[in-house]
Amino acid sequence: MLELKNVSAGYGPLQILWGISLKVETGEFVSMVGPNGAGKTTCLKSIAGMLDVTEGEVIFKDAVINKMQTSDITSLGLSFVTEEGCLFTGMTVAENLDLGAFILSDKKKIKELQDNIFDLFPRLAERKKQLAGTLSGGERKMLSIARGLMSNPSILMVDEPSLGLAPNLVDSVFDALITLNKKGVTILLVEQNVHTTLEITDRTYVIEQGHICLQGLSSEMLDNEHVKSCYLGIV
Amino acid sequence: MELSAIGDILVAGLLRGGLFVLMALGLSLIFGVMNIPNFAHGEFYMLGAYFAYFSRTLLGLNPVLCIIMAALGGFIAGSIIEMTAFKALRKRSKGNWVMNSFLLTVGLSILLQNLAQATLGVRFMGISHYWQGSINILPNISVSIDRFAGFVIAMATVALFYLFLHKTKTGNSIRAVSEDEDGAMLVGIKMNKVHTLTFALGALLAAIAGAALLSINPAYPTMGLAPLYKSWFVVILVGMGNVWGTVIGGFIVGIVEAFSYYNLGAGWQDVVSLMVIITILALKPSGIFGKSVRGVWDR
Ligand SMILES: Nc1ncnc2c1ncn2[C@@H]1O[C@H](COP(=O)(O)OP(=O)(O)OP(=O)(O)O)[C@@H](O)[C@H]1O
Ligand SMILES: [Mg+2]
Repeated sequence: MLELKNVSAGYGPLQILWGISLKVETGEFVSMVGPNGAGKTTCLKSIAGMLDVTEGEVIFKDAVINKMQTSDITSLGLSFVTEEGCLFTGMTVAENLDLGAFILSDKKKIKELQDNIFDLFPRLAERKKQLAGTLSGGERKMLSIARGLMSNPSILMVDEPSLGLAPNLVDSVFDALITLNKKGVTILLVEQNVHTTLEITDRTYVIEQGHICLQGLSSEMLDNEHVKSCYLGIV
Repeated sequence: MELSAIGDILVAGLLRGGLFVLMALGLSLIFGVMNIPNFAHGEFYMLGAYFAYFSRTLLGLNPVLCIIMAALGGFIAGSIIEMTAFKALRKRSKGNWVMNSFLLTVGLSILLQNLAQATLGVRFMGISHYWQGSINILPNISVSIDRFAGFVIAMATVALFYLFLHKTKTGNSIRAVSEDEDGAMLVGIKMNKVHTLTFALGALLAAIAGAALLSINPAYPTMGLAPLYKSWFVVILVGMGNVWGTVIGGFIVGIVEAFSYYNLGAGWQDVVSLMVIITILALKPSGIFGKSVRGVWDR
């Protein structure tokens, strides 16, 4: 479904990604972990067309997308939920969700998606009329994931959904992602919460200093010495 | 001051203010969505006045159609200018967008004024009236129908514009861009389209203002300057990105002007308006209703 071939990218003269290659197959739940500043967010941004790819190719559903605009990539069925959420803070929860479905025109489909989302995040249903800017941090995370789902994407990329959430909320966000994946949504997840991430995902890429340094089944990563010592704090 | 004088001032101020509201809304929209401080805004007012003048005199259209023609003309001129000048600048200008686009609008303003002068000359092109006669709005205050109609047109336009921004998908996408550009792109909103539409709508609002006042202010090449400054007064006064704030601000500026006109004489209205604005900004730097302006100038 999604493939990166030797992708390099950065900010102006500052190169951050050095030839990243990765693959996400339809229906998979894949994660990317790594230390702060490794380039995880940069990688997601270059996939979503928010950053120029200087070398290599990003292929999504058989199309080369690394020269395309973000909005066109979204229309192709890729949805990116950023770390900050990029919510429309002066608009209501309902308006944010409506805008999430901007690329869709079938009213019935939109209603159906919204109902599913309210099942997933009942709290949002209670706060439909509230301004997004007045939501709590946890509710904002839920809304940003929910908005990302309103376009009915074939792949969802989520950047650090657990950041700044209380432990019980972290669980509910992860549960939501697991449910989504079971329903057939392909997911590429970036997380700091390495232990849980390795437990819930199928495959994992470890990225360090802009290079992929390890990859494999998440279950096997749990036993990897490097992962154990650097990310799980087990000596 | 007598009661009837206060009535006169209020009525004159509201009638004046209605048109400032239209101008200021466009200015605020263009700044809020595109980060362009548009100093060519007055030229769309000027274009609107000319469009209405020629629709009336050459085509002999009825007043309402004249104003609709001006609105269309403003919209088309705005789209063309956005798609040529600003789109090109957007591709090239990375940093310092606000300054670069500001300079571009100043250049456009001079260009449009001179184009008008070169093709149409400097003489006033006005009409004696759209609708003849006057009406009593209060028992002893009568105003010309044209002034009153100008006010009604301005308010109807503001109401339609508000409904458009809040009740339509396209309107919501414009607001979304002004709230968060990345968020807007990520949900699939096409930035280029929104930018062109926004600029065109701003130009349309200014053109309606110019057309609606044609019988009072005839068309001439530099007629846009005064309304440009007035609408900046409003926007500075209330802050950016607030439709209702802009409406109230337009009326405040209108009433302040009418008050100084009546009590101090013509020529003093700008001094008094500016003093009011300076006072308010000293007390509340983001404007009466403004959100924090931090960040706006960073981009
Ligand atoms: N806009 C930017 N301009 C310049 N450098 C940037 C910019 N954004 C990020 N960087 C740099 O790029 C590097 C990678 O950043 P990135 O955000 O991709 O890291 P990350 O893996 O997501 O880290 P974290 O886990 O902290 O979110 C960092 O060194 C960062 O300082
Ligand atoms: Mg990051």
